[in-house]
Amino acid sequence: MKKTMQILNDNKFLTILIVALCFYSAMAGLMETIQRSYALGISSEPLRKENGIQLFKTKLPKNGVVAYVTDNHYDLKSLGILQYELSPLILLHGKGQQRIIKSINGPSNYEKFCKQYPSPKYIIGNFNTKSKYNDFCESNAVALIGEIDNITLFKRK
Amino acid sequence: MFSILFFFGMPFLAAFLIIYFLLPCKVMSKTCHFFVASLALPLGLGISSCIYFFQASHFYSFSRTPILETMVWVALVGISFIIQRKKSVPVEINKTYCISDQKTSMLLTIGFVLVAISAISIFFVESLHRPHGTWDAISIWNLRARFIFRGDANWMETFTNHSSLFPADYPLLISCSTARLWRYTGSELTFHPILIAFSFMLATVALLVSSLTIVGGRSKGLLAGLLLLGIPYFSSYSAAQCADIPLGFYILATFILLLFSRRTPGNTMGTVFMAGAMAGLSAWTKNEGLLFVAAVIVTLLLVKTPEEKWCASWKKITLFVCGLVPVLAVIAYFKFKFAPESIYFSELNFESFFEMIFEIDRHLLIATYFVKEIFSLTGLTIIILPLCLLFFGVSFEEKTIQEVKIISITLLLVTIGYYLVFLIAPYELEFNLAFGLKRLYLHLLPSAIFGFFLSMPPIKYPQGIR
Repeated sequence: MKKTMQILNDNKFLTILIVALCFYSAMAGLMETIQRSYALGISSEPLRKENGIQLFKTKLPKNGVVAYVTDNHYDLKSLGILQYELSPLILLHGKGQQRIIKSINGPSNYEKFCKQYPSPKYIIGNFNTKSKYNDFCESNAVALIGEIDNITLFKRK
Repeated sequence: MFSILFFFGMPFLAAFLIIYFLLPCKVMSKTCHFFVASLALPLGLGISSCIYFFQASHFYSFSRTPILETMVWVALVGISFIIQRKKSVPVEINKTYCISDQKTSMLLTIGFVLVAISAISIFFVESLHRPHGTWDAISIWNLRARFIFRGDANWMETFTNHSSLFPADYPLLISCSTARLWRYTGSELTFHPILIAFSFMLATVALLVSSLTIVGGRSKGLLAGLLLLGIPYFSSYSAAQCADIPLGFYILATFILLLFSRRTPGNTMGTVFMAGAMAGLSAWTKNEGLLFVAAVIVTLLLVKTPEEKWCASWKKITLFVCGLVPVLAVIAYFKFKFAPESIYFSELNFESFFEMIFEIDRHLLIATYFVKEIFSLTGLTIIILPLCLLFFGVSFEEKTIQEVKIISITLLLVTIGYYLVFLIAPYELEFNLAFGLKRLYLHLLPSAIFGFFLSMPPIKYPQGIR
């Protein structure tokens, strides 16, 4: 009993306990991080493929500027486009698709961007109906390159 | 490689010299140098980002070369040197207790090293897995950096389209630091924001350990560092490249510099001024920093020792505000010229505001999350706090009580502010709480750990059981 009290009093027990707790917690965190990383692939490549990013990988230029048009900025995450190394990006999004299409048709920030950058040749959008992207192609002089999961890729004519 | 070393090293070296000249703690050479170094890099990056923002807004044609920045740094170092020469002999900061003969536990040192290795490994695995950071870093902090870097002379126009930068009123310390490195090195590498994030993580731990070592002994410092690094969310979120860890650093640095000014006899004008600058940089990091600035000023007005005169107290607050002003001027310029009104105010409707305030369910949900997320953040390591209280007890020294009061009241005011913001936020409440609260706790975590260990008496390790 006396010895136990001595150990408690000299703080050795507490130090061992604290070090053990922190080490356990940090190692558990590390294991979880490694597991999570490998589950998705260390470079997130499978995630990108799942989202149809391979289309853009083959079609996008190495140093082009891409305008992304969407009504929902969370699409960017699901698409993984911003994680994509090749995507120097102009991001355009707003609260409603209609509003964006309208603003793109008129004198808008989109046009300012186009003037600013010499080559915003590629545009990615999430138009979910053919009529909408047909309108978009017509009014913005772009051609449809490809489409996967409602994500469409256009090239300026 | 040379360019990144130079552009990262220049603000570090200049800030190191400024702090070294202004802080009166030269007699404790080793720990003090470590302490100064831990303050220097974030201070240097913060000031550099302000200069870069100013330069890019007014003299864009010069923004490829760091001429203005170099000139400002030379001037600041020169002024600090002149102030230092006029000052009296350097003095030692008062420790809580005289514990110079106390040995550090070997077990604690080894434990700290092991936990630090695990934490750094978490950072690197996260960074390998997500080189662009988390969603917030991608869509907010790094996106702004890309716009500033790629926009050339027209970069300011990107702020005219607020919806593309939503929320566009976030301050630019992190984004400008990244854009600055990209601009000066000429390459847009993911390595640069990772390096900035890593610096803030290391600086936070180093500042916590070194400051507690100076005021309370190495064991205390190592224990505090062990606890912070033992929380995996801290190291994993450091790799997120968001502004939460940097904000946590600036809040901690403000408290520590204020504490040092109270413990240093003689002239502490430089220390209080720097505390103000650190608080200013917290506001330049995130909007929550503005709340912290208000909270810390209110606390400084409220907490006063009986022997402290109002005159001295006001002088200190004035100096603190003087340190704030240059950074606040940059923030004001950004807010008035570029940023739209915050969504919290622009979408505020008085009818729904009162409805939200008196909705009991909202209060209950927020309160539940506020408690739940503490456990979610700290995990098992929270057990350490009651254990330490049980074994080591609490210090009842008047000076320590006052300092702990300053930290606790400020953190409490900031927490109340966060609570109110959640209450009136125009977002889906539960999603907002689940998504944001844990990150907000990271702002307060290093300071809370610092305050907790500061309130403890010294830890003794008798000979032979190390």
